Amino acid sequence: MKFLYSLGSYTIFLNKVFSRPEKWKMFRQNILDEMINLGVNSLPIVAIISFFMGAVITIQTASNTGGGIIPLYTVGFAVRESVILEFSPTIVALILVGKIGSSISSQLGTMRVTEQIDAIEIMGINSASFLVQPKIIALVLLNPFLITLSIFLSIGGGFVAGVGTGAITPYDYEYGIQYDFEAFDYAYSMIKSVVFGFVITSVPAYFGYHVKGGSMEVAKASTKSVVQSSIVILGLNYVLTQMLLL
Amino acid sequence: MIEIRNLIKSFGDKTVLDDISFQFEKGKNNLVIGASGSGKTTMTKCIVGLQQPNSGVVKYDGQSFWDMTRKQKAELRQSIGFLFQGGALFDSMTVEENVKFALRVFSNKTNKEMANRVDFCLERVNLHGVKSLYPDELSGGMKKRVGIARAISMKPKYLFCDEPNSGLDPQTAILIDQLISEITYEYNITTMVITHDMNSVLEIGDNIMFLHQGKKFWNGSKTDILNTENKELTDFIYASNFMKAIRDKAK
Repeated sequence: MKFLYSLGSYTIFLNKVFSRPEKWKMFRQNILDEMINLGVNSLPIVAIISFFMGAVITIQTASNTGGGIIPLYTVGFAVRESVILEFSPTIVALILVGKIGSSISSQLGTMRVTEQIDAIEIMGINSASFLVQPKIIALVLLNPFLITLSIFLSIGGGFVAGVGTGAITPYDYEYGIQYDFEAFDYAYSMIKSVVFGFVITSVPAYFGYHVKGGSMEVAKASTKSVVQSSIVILGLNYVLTQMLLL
Repeated sequence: MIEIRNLIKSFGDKTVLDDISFQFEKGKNNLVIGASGSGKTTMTKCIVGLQQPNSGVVKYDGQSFWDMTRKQKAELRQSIGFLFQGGALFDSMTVEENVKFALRVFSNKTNKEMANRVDFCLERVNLHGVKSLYPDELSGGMKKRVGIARAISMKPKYLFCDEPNSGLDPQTAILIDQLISEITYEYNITTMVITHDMNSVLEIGDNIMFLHQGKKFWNGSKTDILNTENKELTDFIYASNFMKAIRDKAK
């Protein structure tokens, strides 16, 4: 029952968020600001995680394919498949929930408890639309680029680790990452990144926007938003995978 | 003029506003006084539409707020200035950006015209050289002034002030009261001030309503209030030794 109430409340919130902006010029500027704030400022963490993620997957795969029965290029193939299909879109989304989601939730929560959202409402501005819509649009547009970058850096990290440790030759790795490539895998990854971009911004925004009380509640909302967003991402990951890959 | 009639608001079983009727007159400082928890802020939120009352009527110059369309409400709100108790300044924006905010959203003014309006509003509240500062770099009194400057930036017809001098030293509190009063008379607007500061009441109270436990117990002016025999109100007014001394001296 509580789940249904939350779902209904979230839907009403989204309806309020996606109403016509008060002023298009300001709206466009807000989207650009949020692209820098949410997307560009996330580049370092995405880059670091992706590089090491690729490196670890390569070494782990290489250590399990030794013995000569399985060809070495399988390592490159496995890295590419796991990174494109799962690691980059999903793991990076979970990392971004921690970084961006908690930030959105605490920003809106603080604005709520310090009456800044009330101030916007009283001016006759739809506060949900004004504050949240640019964030959602910015990340939905930018997340595919972040994930694409993550894919390249993961594969690059795998190359550095695999070749650097002597676990695989450059030729085998390059052959593996090109072997039996399906363009739809990348499309599937991009579809997930768009959906996850929406979840990473809208779910924490919902929790932050509806905070009642003081700083303790802001902190609780921030934690709750990260947990709930992660669960939603994992659930949608399963649903999208079944829908698109089976 | 703002009129409220038979306003009732409950949270669960608890009735916070119990059948309140009152007229907030144009060109006057309309004060709502009462102890903490008496329903002052809830009443204000019902009037400006941040909370919906269970029943009752709120009219702005004869037009019922809750019967307005969404567009009409948005238009009306552009003519409302609101000074929050804590200022509610946007902490990610400078003072200039705070005051300019509504102008950027609603007006078609050029950047120069907006800058001139910001300068005028800050000048009006006697603030100089603070345009590039952020709210956390301002004192409590300065925050209130910026709040007032932001509230008057769109030339409001209605000004709401929620405990404008709470947390301020007595001198600054009086200055803020005087500023609100001057703006009310100068622009001939309907001003509603929520307060429990008796200095404010005696300083600027043209039209006063006393709320007690969600009910209207008394209304009158600052000259009437010292002669009242309403028990709840006298308990409220003469709670401090300072006010008791004034009463004793008058006797």
